[in-house]
Amino acid sequence: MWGKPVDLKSQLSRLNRILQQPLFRFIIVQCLPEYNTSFEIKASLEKNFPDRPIHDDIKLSKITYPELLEEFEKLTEGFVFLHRFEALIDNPDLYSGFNQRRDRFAEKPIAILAFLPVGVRVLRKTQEHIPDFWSFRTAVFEIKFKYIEGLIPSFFWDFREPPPNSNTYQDKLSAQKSLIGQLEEVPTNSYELRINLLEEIAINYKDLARFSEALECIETGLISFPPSSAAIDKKINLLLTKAAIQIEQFNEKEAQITLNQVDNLLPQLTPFDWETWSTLQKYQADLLLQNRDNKKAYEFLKDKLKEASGNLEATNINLILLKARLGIALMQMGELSEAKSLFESFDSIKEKSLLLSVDARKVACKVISDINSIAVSLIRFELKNTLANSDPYFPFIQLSFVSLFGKGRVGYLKKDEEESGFFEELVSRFEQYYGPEHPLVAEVYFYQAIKDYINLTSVSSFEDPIDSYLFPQKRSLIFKNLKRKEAIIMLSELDEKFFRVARIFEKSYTKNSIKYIISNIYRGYIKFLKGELNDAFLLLHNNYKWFEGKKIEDYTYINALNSICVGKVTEEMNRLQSAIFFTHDGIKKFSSLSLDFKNNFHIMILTILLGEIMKEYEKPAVIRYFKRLFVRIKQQFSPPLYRQ
Amino acid sequence: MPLELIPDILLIKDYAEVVFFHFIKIREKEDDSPIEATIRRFQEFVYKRISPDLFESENVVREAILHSGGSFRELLRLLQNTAYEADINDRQITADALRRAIELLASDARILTEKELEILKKLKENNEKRLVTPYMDGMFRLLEQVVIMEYNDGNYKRVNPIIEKSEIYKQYVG
Repeated sequence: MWGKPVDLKSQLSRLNRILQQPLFRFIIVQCLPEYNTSFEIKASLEKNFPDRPIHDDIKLSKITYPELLEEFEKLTEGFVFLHRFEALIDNPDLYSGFNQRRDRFAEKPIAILAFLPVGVRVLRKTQEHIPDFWSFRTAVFEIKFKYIEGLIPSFFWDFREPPPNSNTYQDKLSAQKSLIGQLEEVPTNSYELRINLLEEIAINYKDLARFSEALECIETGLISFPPSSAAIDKKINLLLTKAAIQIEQFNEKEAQITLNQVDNLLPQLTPFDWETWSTLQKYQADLLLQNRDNKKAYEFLKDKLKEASGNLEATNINLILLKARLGIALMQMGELSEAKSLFESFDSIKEKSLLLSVDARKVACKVISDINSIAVSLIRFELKNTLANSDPYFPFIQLSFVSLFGKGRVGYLKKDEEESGFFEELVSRFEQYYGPEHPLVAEVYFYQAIKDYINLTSVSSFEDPIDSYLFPQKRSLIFKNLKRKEAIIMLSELDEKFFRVARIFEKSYTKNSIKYIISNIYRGYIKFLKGELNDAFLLLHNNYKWFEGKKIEDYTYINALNSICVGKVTEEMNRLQSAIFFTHDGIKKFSSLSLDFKNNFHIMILTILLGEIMKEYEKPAVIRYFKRLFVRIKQQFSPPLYRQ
Repeated sequence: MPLELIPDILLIKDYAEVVFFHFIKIREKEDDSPIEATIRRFQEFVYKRISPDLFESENVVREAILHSGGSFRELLRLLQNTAYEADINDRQITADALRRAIELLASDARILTEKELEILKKLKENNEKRLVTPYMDGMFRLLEQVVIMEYNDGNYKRVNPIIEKSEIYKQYVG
């Protein structure tokens, strides 16, 4: 039942009691879509009520209200299964029908079983759309399963976050408490036991994204080895976990030192362990790729793959992950077709191991979704495929999709995907595994907030805050279909969502920390729209300071964007000198990016706007400076673009 | 009128008269004491539909009525769920089954947001101080979902007694 994990048997028994009488019933069943709960329920109903037919062929996502009624008219008794009940959320015709003519459904001795994904959000959203029909509900079941752990293929997470090694976040917390308790009781001379426990605690901390505590445990573990220890494998494992955290935290130099230590210890392993060897190579490749040493990474991986291929099975996951990294290197080098065929080659593994090939494709999707647009077609294909086959890995494909969407290709978040309520499902699933404060959960919150932002502002691109800051007509879009008061309420809600993301990312400095900054840019924009200029300035200026202490080339674009935003806010505040300073800073940062059409276009627009601010400022020296700058910018553009 | 049209009530009022049927007050506003006359009328309503012999004691019915908050539909829903929870071997609807049904229905509260819990907290405080709680932003959904129940002319509001039994309510509102 709700909030209480109860086994399926007792839930089915309650369901059977509720359905005993052949009367109208409206039952909501929340369950994980990948597990065939509906089959279990169907089997149970067939056994207990053999005379009552089960109608299982109505698809809410593909039916209109009149068609639904027509289907219902044909029925006289039995059970109706409505899968993906949340599909009605986006169909006003359908949910109004459920509300306004609920009597049409209730007048027949038919039990409706509506299936929803697990989670509060989807439940609430459905309830909000069908308040009338909802009041007819007989019961709500939430079916949870203990073996959920097995649903996460650990290697799939290799490119993102470590897999949880126990069931849910709560389980992990209590396991951690008990492990720490055990550690306190272990005598200091029980080296092996202490090190085993420390390793387990460190991995748990890593899973909980509490990196500094994880590193502390590893260090304690490393100094706990007696001088003549033969447990090289343990030491190597601890060091590899340490390296993974250091890579995650951008501590590349320290990560390299740790990997060198592993490299030195590796020959002492008897017999030689190719699995550990390949893990080491994986991290070495990550460092090269993170530094954008693509060519070096490519050669390194080619070399290592050659060495590995004689010693590891073709279906070995570490081998596949090395190949996936080779794919990334190729893509970063611009060799897209070669990368694509490499990822597609994972399909050939199918003959040897069907399951692994499916996962390998998903790994490939995940990886390329982070990098390049060629992922679009592959991921769309996978998404369609997994939807059609009720694939158990659907949530992970969804995350790939979300990640892709986060890269700015918001246009790909089409209605089909929205209908599936996948954000709700993702949030609920990840909250359950990782807890509410984990960066991975925040990542889903982040994309969800961006999606809401896009829905509210009707913009079409991830980079649009800059355009919206600059062009009042874009800003007015928000208020176009909404009363100002409504818009303010919606903006405040959105602000809270971004705040939640920013708060989580602020705490842990990882690759994802940039989302803290991006969230603040969105928050700044929201405050700007609401007329809260001081708050907007504080947020964006805080971002500006954040960038000052860091040299992260990859984020120059965001850095430039932020400066432009501060410029715009200060201009609005009539602090023209600051506006000039920040706008100019933004232009400089844009100019340092590789030149492509978009940046040129931005620089041109921004320079014109800077000129506008300067005109207001009316200081001849400033205007002279602007003129010089404009001439320089003009020279950067190709003639056709400039004429345009 | 369907609940989904309530947000458009001002528009509807231009063309039709809208009459509200509030819930029947089952506890006094002043001291929260049960109103016996109302309880008797509700008992009559129950016994006309379910034989008194099917209940373990009269007190089960009384408790169910008090938990209905004065809503016939809520009462029937609660009794229906109590019947599902009843042990078939008992052949009676027991206090224990009622307790389990209340627990199950109280889990509706898990959908409440922090803002909504704040509203419930404010409502409780006002009721304790015997102050009238005005309509607040976000209250509409709570009324629509019978988390808050309105009595008299709508000036007396209180939280659905079943929601009061939920853990989240107890933790947040107290």
